[in-house]
Amino acid sequence: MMDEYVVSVISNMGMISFLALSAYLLLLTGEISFGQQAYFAISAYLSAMATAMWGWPLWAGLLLGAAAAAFAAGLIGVLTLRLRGLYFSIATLAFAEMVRLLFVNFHYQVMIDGEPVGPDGAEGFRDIRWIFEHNVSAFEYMAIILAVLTVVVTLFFIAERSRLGSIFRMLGEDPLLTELQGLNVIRYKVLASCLSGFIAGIGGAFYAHFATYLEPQIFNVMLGVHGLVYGLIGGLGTALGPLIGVALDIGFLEAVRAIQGYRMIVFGGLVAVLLIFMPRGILDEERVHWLRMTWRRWRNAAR
Amino acid sequence: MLRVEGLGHHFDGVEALAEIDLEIAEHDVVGLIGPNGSGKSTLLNMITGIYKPSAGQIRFRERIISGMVPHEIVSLGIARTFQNLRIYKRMTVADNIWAAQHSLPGVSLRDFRSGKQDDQIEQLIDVVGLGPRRDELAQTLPLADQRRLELARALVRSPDLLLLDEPAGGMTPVETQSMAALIRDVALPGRTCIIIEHKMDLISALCGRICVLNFGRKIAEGPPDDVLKHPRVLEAYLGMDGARHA
Repeated sequence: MMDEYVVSVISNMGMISFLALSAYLLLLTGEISFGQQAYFAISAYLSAMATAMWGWPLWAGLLLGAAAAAFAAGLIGVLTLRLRGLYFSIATLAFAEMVRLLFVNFHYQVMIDGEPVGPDGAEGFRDIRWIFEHNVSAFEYMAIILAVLTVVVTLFFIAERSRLGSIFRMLGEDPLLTELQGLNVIRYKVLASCLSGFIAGIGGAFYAHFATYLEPQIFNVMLGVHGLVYGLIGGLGTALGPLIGVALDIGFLEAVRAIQGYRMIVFGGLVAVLLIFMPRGILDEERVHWLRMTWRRWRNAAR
Repeated sequence: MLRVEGLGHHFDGVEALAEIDLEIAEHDVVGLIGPNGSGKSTLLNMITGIYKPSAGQIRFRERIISGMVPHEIVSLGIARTFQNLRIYKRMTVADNIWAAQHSLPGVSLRDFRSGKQDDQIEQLIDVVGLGPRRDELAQTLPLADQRRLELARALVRSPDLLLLDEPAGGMTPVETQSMAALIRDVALPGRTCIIIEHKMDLISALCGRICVLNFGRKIAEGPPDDVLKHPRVLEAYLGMDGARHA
């Protein structure tokens, strides 16, 4: 069996990857969101309420949480339609802080076996015990996370080759030009928002049941910044970009114990250097295009 | 086909267009000329819905399109290019043209990109001379090729009305000639077209009629030979003295 520590690091990487992919999707459409942690939080709380308080199975709680996150994201998408650049970023950040403060003041508990269960404001939400009650081992839970992540990443790859995926990239490059290709830009922006909320929500639901304990403070702006930066580091040319960002930060920096105390300093420095020299990340569109062409040449030569 | 009636537009009190009347029949090719800032691009921006008129209206096939949003307007069969070139720089040549098809009727968003696109795209790529560069990122193309790409992208939507905003802007004389030939042979047949251009040889070679704008107003309209000798046109282009000596 795998080392418990390794299992928890990989699980963490898997869960945060959903957040990174959700921010990546918005980055593709040209929006820098500092608020994806809000959708992560909404789904974490709601899915945990569903399993711990209402006795729902995990998958149903996850779907409910992700759907609610998608709805909230769609709403924010509509409200921020007219905002560009920095103003969009600030609006998403403000919304995420609102959500966090909402959970600080959110009390909703029911008695289960003589114990109060449910969100208790700043005291947090304890005893989200679904995976223990159902004898899911840490290793199995990791496998579930990775399986769902694989499905989501595969969908990204499929979308990337489709007209829909192309529209998202068109929005990111030139929304006005995209409108003049006969596409309702508003509709696709809101759609991208909803999808990004849903994806962040999947990660949030997994996180709640992995941690068994939620408190509003977890979902602060630093979580959102990390989620955002993973795509910017790893690259915006492919859905592997955000995963590379996650692997670099959590897999490498956290795992290398020698730099343990300095992780944030090293990470911050890495981000700054990369954004100067590779503004669209390691695997940006140019490098991905180069890799694709090289692969095609190589494959044709092999025939 | 296109009727512009009493069209006016102002930016924060600055009059950009005023009292513009223009009627364009099916298969007309009209040149729109005038000094910088005379309102030519503003007129195209209003036809395509980017700006809303503050006076007057625009009809396309008897339908009032002023007030509609751009994606609705272009879906009626209008396509355009831009003076300051708009292409998807981080996409390949083929993907840029593919992108223009997304909203066409009968096209599914679940379609996938393949190594070879449908015949229409491949033919267009070859016709505009971008065959050898079909898989290159658009940002790596020289300017003349980027303009060709923009033209191909507009044509793939099979528009009935084509609006070209300085299609030969920034081109050398040789490139301009080949662009003029491309427009004449590929873009114009069976189409109605408005061309904005500063290069008069291109305008007179392609357009049956010219409309001249100055300070947002129409100052002349008619066949190229007449219009280019019109005293008010000479005055607008050359100034009072120039007009007197001409």
